Amino acid sequence: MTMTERTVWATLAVFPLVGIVYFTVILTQAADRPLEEVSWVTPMLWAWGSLIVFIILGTIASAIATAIQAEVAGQKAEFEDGDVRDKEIERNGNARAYVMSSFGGLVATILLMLDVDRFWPANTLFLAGLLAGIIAAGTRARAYRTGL
Amino acid sequence: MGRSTKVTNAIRALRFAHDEMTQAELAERIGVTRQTVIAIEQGRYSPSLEMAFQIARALEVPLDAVFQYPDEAA
Repeated sequence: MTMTERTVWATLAVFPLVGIVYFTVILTQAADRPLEEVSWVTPMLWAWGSLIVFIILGTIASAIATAIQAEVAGQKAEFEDGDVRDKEIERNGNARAYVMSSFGGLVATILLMLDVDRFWPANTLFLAGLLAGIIAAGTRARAYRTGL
Repeated sequence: MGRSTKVTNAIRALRFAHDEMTQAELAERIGVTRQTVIAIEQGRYSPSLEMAFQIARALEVPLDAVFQYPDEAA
């Protein structure tokens, strides 16, 4: 497994994890008040920040795992950004994620037109971003396992 | 893991016939990772025409000795 593929698997683990924690925090608050009164700005900032930090840590862990595996096998570790296949797989994943991002943007725009509380468009965009990340990483992980 | 392409190839056999060239050696010659060579050998990735020529050149055989496409009637 190349470092690029390992990073994809790490990303695939991080997006759902952050999403579950964020929405658990939001829904726990919503137990005793309406959703529109829930404090979501700070948890969302923490969620985005955690996402970035975890992806960086995942990339570092992938590099370490790649180096250890190469050392054990007595081979040269492949640390480059990936070859032409990696780039094709990445493009494929990003194309599918783009559809989800666009859909999320469309729903958020409609919600704004309806003048609903800002909680809804903001969280719609956040959810769409998380799903787009999961779709991109999931599509790439599947392509690595079963082919493009 | 199923094949994602109808194109078949004889890379593995040709590598062994070519002084037992390793996947890593072939990968280095054509400028890809070893994982990509494995994916091509297993039919999980169809290389570009340019990469196909590079593989054939590295193995010192004609392109159609490396890659085959089954007849529809077969």
